[in-house]
Amino acid sequence: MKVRIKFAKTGALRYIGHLDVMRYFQKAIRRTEIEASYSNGFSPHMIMSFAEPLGVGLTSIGEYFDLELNYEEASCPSGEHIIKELNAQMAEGIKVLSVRKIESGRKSNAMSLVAAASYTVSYTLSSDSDREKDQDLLLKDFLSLETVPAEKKTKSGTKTEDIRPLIYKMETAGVPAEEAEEGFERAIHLFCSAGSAANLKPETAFGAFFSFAGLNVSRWEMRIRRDEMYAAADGGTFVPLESLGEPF
Amino acid sequence: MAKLALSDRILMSVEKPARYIGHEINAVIKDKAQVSIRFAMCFPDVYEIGMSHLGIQIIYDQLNRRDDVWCERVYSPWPDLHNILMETNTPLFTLESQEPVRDFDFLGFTIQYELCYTNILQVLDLSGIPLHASDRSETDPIVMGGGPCTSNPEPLADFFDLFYIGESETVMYDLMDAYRENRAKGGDRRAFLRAASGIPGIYVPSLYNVSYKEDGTILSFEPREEGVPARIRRQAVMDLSHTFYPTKPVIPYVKATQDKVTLEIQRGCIRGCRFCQAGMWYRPTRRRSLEFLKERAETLIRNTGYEELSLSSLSSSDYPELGELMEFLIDICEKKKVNISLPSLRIDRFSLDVMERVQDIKKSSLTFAPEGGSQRMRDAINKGLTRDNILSGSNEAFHGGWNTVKLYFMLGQPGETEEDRKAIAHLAEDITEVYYDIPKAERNGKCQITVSTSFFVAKPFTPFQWAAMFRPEDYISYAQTVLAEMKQMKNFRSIRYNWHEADVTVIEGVLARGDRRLGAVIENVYRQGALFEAWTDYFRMERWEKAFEAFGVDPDFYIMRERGKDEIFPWDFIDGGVTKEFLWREWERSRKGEVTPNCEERCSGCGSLSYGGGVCPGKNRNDQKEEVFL
Ligand code: SF4
Repeated sequence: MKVRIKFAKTGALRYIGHLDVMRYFQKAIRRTEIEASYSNGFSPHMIMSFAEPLGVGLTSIGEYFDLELNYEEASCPSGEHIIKELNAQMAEGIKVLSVRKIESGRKSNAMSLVAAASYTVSYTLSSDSDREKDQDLLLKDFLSLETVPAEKKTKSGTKTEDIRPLIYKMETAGVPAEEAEEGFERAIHLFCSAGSAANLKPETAFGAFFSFAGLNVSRWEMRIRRDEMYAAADGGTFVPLESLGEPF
Repeated sequence: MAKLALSDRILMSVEKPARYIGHEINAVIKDKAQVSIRFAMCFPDVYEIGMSHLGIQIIYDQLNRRDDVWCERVYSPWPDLHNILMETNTPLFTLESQEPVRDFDFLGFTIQYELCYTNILQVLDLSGIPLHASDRSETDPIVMGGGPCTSNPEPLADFFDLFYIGESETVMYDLMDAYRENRAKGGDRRAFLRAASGIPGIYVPSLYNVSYKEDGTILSFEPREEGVPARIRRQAVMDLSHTFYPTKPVIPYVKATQDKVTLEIQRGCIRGCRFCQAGMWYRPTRRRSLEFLKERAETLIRNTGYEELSLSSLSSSDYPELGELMEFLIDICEKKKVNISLPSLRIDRFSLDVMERVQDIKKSSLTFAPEGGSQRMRDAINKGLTRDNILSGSNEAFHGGWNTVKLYFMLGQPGETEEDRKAIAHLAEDITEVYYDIPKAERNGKCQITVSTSFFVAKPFTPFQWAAMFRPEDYISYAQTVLAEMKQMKNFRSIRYNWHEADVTVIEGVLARGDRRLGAVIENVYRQGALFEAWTDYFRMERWEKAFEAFGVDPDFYIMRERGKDEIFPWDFIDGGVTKEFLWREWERSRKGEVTPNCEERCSGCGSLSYGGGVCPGKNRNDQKEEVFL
């Protein structure tokens, strides 16, 4: 049976890389009684697939991976039970949020489904004159631009790309609790294209906005949190990956 | 909210920030207000190497079992962070509390290889602790060192308050008790060191005086004060089945070099290869009980979730119940899909059977370490592996489907001749012949033999501690001899040959048998910017040459000289169990090409019986010549 696991990765663990998170979960699952399915051969691997890697330094409350479990549907422990078992093995900062049953097969892979993602960036301002600037107004002006050129790293160097079509929404948001506690002053919510077809890195989008707005915010003065990942649905809409699975 | 010592700005600008954030699974967090001793344990190399070390995990577990001690970890910051810490004047911190090391009571180093000496100075320097023990004040931590390099701690004597000579399982608690007692009495740093010097195995270098003869050798080595022991006895734990062994080791996020459960099945080695320090230093061989190993294997797999388990020992095949242990491990590992790796196995029917069950033959290779190319050479180094063993082992393996063989040799050993070097090529060729003698239909494509040679380093507490080494250009010419001979071989195309750096060998040689006069050299090399010298890319011979020059130290004194029987070695104050008389006897036997039986065949009276444990008691001892030396 295949399940989709949603988890949060916050605090100090934002510095753990994507591959490390994968190894972390493999070990954590082995420490529980949950039976995962393995590939054949001399070094069997857990059959799991992660959606869209999260950059180092970013936190998230909407990470996903799909995992093949070694149970028939009837004998599978409940989702609640699996969440409890896993959370008993988590480090401070990582928390399993939901476990849903999904269809098996490649097409339904979290990895290939991702089409959009949402983020919240929190930041601090370095001067009072910056503080006087109206964020809402700046966002409105920014979004009314027809093109937003941004540099993109490729294998052969950098190229300039128009990221405007990839930005679906950008608006003022409340500063999340964890970030507020650390003294971050303002926040912006971003909804944008993600996944293998056209992935927009939030750093790129926010970088472009800050330079447009004339705000002096370097990469380490902002804290980016991924809030959710989405699959494309009918009529150009998007649904959270989690909603494609069923509770069990 | 998780506390981090480094700012986002720093963490985002270094490679692998996860090395510095702590918060790993099973890391021990205590309330600092509730403990009386804070201990920072350091492996002076990068995180991934340090986290792979079983010894640190044992000490971490051992110390943290005490409610009054909080042991935390610290590793060498990689050069990128090193520079940032220097520039920003940020003090080095431990991973658990993320607090400055300099505020701790103890800073302990495990000293595993000579090329990490400059990294020890790095950790002190970044912590803001004076490099010299003599410059430290009451608020500085007690800096202590342990591990294999303490078999000769003298080159590091200036930098350490004390050395712990022997295994952590023995007197660590006594040392902690002495520290608390001294503090309760209002004693100062000096008073503590004086008290510590009375604990068996604890060596406080500042309490000893060394004087030298005109020729540079040691004239005398004596305690400065009444009551300080003249000799330090290496401490060893005899019952390895009833002592500390972590059940919940810290599990890193970053992939460690050894990303697996390590099960140390025994300590020590019965074989007695004459170049091998570990084989002499860890005598007598002590085995963990089958029952203990079974229990610990199961617990560790359950508690860590690792996907690989590795047996650790100097010679796994010598563990008497290996067969039964393997049956058990294969069974439990199958259930949890855990891979098993088995280093240091002798290749024979049994081990091939086991390997066939736990490894993919197509991807695995056979490993032999004959160390010497000719039988004459192997006799001289007491390596009980014959050409026959190697060829018949290979033959069995080739019939079983293997086609890759790795061979390890050492070049530049005492008494080695050109013929011995050439013999390496011939042995490799013989193995290929065994392969190509198998009918084409039954073999598995071409065979691939990889020959690697390292250069010999003479180490303290080995029979070769008296031996002369060679110059870098000599070592390289020896490797060239092997290569030239290799090219003459019919099946040259099936053989690959690689050899190690020679400069590094020379520096290892100088430091391994060095004395206190090298402290200034090491410090100077560090000041010139040396870090991570165990990493080939970071080692620079010029720095050492400059430092030798600057302090008038002649490296040849340490490496190019064959020592006489009566010379006092810098490490002679250590009673390591194995006696100098035994080592000298072995040195002489080596020169005569005489093989010495292993501890299971017959006891050779090495001196380790004095520990009263391990494999020694009850061994046949009638044929030994020990009385001559007593
Ligand atoms: S005393 Fe004898 S049996 Fe014991 S380690 Fe030495 S040689 Fe081996």
